[in-house]
Amino acid sequence: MSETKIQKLTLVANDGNKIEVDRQVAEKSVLIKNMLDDLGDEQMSTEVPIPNVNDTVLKKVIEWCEHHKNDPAAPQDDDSDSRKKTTDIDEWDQKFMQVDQEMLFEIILASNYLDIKPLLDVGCKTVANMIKGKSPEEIRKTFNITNDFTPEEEEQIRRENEWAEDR
Amino acid sequence: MSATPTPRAYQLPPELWAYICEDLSRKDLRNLRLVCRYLQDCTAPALFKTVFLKVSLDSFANLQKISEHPVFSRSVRYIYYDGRILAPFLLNCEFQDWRQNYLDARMYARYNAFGSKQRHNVYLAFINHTSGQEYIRKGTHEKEMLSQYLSRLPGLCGIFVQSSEYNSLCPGAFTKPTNSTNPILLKTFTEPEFYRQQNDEYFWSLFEAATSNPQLSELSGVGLDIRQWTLRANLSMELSQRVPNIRRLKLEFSGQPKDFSSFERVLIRLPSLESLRISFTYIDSSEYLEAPVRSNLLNEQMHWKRLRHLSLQAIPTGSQHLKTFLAKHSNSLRSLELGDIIFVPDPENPDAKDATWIDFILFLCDELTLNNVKFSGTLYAGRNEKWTIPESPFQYHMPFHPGNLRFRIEQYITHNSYACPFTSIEHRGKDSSGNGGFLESHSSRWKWTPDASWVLTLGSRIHVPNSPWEASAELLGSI
Repeated sequence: MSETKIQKLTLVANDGNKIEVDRQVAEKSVLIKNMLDDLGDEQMSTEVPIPNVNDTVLKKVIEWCEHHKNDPAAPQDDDSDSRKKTTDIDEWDQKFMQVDQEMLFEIILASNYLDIKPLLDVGCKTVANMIKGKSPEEIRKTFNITNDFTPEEEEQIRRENEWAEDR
Repeated sequence: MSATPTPRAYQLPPELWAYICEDLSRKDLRNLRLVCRYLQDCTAPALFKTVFLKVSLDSFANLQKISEHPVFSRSVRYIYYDGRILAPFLLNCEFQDWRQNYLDARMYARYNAFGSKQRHNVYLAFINHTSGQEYIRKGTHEKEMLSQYLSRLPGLCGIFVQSSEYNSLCPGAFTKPTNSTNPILLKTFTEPEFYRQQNDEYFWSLFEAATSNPQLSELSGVGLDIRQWTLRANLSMELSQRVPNIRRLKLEFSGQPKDFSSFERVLIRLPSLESLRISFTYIDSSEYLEAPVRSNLLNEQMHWKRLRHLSLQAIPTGSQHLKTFLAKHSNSLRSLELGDIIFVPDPENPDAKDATWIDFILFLCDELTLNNVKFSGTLYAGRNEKWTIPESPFQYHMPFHPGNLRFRIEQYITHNSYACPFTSIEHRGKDSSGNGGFLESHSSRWKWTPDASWVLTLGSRIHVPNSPWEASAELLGSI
């Protein structure tokens, strides 16, 4: 059926840098995969611009896709009660996510834009783990955030928090 | 003011923060809300997505405040209603009587450790709390309040209810009394481990209130009374018509399966079902093994095009009946759970008397495409067959490991490369090697390698005279 299937793609980051990747790796991105499916190989240029992501972040994202290229596609099932997300991050991903905060947030934004859900999950869980068990002041320190509430507002939020009862 | 750089965290848009929030506990969410204005807004949807409602005036007041808030009201997706109550019959007791009647031995020991003022406070908290519960339960208060609040929750898509004769799964999970003294002390005494509510009123109130919202897609109740569906046949019919988008339905009834013809008529009217679980607490096999069932839970008229998950517990059904139903759903059905199922005689199909579970297992493999199958409890086929599947690996002091019969059966059905664990044989008795399992029906004979994960007990109707298999079958039954 298909004559010459494109095997390699060149991703172009927003600063113009080009990175060549295997099609299988690039297709971890649902955005790119859909683009290939929609356009078909004939009409597809092998250069794919990624206007929202810079070179450093794109390389990092590709590194993740390379390592996970053989992972089975996540099941779409929501059978029984298994809809909960798993909370643990595997060891390689943990190491992968040991980056500064700017990079961490960039990876999350890029994986969201490129639609790489497993990477988005790992990123978001990493941020969640930075929040778990911390007081508001400790969270502010972690993310370098200034408290911009008036004491009255803070009191109001505390009251509203009470409305959300625990099980 | 703008000298400080924008924190990196603000790079993420609210919807991504909302996604991060899904990994956080409610305690963490409350703390995150207090960090800054930006995160306060991002966190609210996750924090107010699920409301845990209890039978208490405080809890109802909280729901009211949420429903009146412009942002929170739009965030609510699920309501869990815990219908458990304290002991209303002790409401008019004096302190002394209350102490004698309410506190069980376990609580009494702790109670005695307190000083007299604290003791009296516990009593007052009980009275206060129970009066509130009585107010809610009186007349149509509960229904009116719920209807009013729920009508202001446009995003509500699921309600979950638990109660009546239902043991507390997590002790300390209940409501705090209104007047405060030592909170731990009050918690201990206003949260006994066993609660009881006389009827399903709370379920119906919430169900009715929630049906004002046509996009309701999940309905779940535990500890319900099937008879209420007959008593409220008209109401249930009307309610089910208002919520045609129910996709996930999970109803766990107390007691035995009784006449479910009214309930059956409701099921037919829910065309969008994707996941269905119906369970009863237990089933008395002697009642069903001879007599045909009057009504089948699942019948010919039912066809849910998107049904992916089916779970049945303690249900009598004709085997042919169930097969027809499952075959009709083979395009969509991927997950099946069966526990304590009785194949009853089918009056229109006398041959079905001899239907065996082995036939049924072959049918599941041949006709369906299941990714997940789970058997539990006891599976009967008429008087002939009774298969017992231990709940836990420890029950028979035998670990479940790949290779045992239950595992092989489940793997065979889900097409995970295991061969059929049951071998069809032409003549019995010729192979007298002895230790196998054996079952004969009018049409076929089967043998297999037995173990404690899936145990056959033969009933009186199968008699295998002078056969080495007879002894092994008895042996199996006594494991």
